[in-house]
Amino acid sequence: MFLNDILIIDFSQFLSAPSAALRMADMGARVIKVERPGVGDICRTLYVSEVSLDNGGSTIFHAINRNKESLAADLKSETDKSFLIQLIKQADVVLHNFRPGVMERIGFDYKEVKKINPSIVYGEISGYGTGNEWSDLPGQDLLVQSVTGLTYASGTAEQPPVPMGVAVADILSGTHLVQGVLAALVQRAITGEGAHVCINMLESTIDFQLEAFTAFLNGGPALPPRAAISPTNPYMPPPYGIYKTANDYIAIAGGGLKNWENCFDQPGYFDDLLQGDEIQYRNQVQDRFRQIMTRYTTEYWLQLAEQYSLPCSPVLDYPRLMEDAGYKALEMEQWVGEGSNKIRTTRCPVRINGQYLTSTIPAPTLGYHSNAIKKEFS
Amino acid sequence: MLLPLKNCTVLEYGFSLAAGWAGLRFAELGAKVLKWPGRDAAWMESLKDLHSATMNRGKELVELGGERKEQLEELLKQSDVLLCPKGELAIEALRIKFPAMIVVEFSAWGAAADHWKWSDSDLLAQAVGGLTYTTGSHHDLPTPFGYNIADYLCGNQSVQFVLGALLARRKSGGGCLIQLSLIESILDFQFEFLTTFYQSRKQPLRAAVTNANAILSAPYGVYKTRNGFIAIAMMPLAKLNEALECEELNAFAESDAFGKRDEIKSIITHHLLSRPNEWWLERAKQLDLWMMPVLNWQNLIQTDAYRKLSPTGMPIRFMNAE
Repeated sequence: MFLNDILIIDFSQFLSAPSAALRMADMGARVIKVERPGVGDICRTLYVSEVSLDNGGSTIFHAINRNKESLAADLKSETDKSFLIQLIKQADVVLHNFRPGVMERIGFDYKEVKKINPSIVYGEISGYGTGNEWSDLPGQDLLVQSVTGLTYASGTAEQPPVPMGVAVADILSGTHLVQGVLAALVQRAITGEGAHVCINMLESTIDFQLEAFTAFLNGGPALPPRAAISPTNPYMPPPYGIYKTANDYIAIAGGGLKNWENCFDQPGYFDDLLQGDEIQYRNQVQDRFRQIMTRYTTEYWLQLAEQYSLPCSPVLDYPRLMEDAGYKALEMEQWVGEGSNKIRTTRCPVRINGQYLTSTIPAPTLGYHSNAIKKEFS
Repeated sequence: MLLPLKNCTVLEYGFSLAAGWAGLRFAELGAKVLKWPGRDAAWMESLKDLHSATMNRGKELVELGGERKEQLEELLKQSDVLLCPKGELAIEALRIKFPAMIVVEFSAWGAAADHWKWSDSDLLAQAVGGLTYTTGSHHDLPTPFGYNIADYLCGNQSVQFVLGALLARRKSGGGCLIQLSLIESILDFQFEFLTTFYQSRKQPLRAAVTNANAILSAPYGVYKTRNGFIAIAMMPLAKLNEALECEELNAFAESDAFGKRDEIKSIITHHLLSRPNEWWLERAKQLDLWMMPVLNWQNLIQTDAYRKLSPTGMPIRFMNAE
């Protein structure tokens, strides 16, 4: 695989940078996760929805940390630190997501690590970058969403701010970290020089909003114009959005109102609506769709939409998604580990030369690889 | 400025929002990005508007005229990377002709395409992929993310794999075919939720009161105050109540934080209305609790963090080169 000869020493925990290390592990890199003895990554004990594995592990930890090795090392112990120095000498990449200042205190900030290994690619994620009044604050997903305006994009106009329900700031900053680290490795392959790659969650979350935010900076409104009825992308013309039907919901990704009039067999159905004010107009169109879509079932509408080439789909929750032949065809699931440690999770979302990237290696128990790693690198 | 891809040429062929995001990142990383938008002259003209100016920043728009086949051949010859939507080019023949090329093919539904004939659309990928049941609160309609998350993720993930392929190519000399889809990107994005679901077989339900993440306990969410909104991250209830001093909250133990989260969040909702943002945030600061104000863009650009970062360029900084 692409990164077969790459060794990553990963000091990070939670989700942001560990999700980046996971992606690079799936691309073939060897990831050694450095964890505090006795405690480890705090995610190990983060239980959600009261779901835990048979062996007591956190499902979230297993999802994020499969395909990695665990080295227990005390960053305050001189012995452990001198071993880490040996390890870093032979590494290609160092990752962390501590708050600014922590690595400086331990002696593993970029300046120090560069002395140990001049061609190192050193990647880090912070909440808000350095040198400003938020620098010392934790980079926490919901809080970053909240300060960057992101909570005003989803839902409808009458709703309070609606956060995105998946840790989007964490995952996007992790995505950008992979890009930065791999770009730096490309550069290193040409020049031999390493790099200091810095990602902060604030900038990652603004990049996601780039189009709308740029419009704002050029005189657009300070809030995205959320629709009144159907929760949707605030910048899309109607009928784009999610609607209730007689028995469920339907997603409508546009299609043109004239085509919809044909589908409804009601020519001129939207002609009386006042054009001019885009937001008002959208609300009126959405209101018509709200009324009409509830008359029939989702299945009925999907069949009709197909006939008229209108872009629609059902709105699935997990149980229904899992039963769908389309989902099964994706082969999105993979088993990692064995025995009582065996769990089902998702695979890497890509095909390279027709092959999915899969791995059966589970998340390590704390310090599982310590002895082997010490033997190999001392 | 470090421009790691300055010797690399990327051809963004045809119309795909995911490819658009990828092309944008490649341009930021220093690549020469050639874009043929796959539409007619009127479309080319419309690319000059603000939306397109943003998404095409740093790209060279190319036109393919009458001698289209020859011109395309010429562009492909110069390119290290080709980004294109599935079905637009004869990929297999092209890969034989240009064996060192890294080809990225974008689709909506990946291997599910035989079953799912729905249109290529971000909203539909969100709806089919289960994402709309993560956002909004329990009694709300299924709620999509307000921005095109599938397009964004898919495009950005393609950049990751292309960079990996460029590294590998330096040794092997060979290119490869990288296939991504909106639906796989959307499912990968929910990997924590899905892994939890695979074990429990229970749909994670959105909280009924101020849902922010269906699998997290109270107080996680956004709350109205007397003059605005604040966001409260995960923290023990007892710790939170040091800042809130809410009598009713004392009736709940930490073990109730998930099972009784709606009840707890209702009490917090009511309690926070009594004071303004500044009051609560000051208390949180004194106690080192994870709370922040909910800002719109107008508020955001006035913050010290925003002014010092001025974050409108690439969200990746190479600090040794700045």
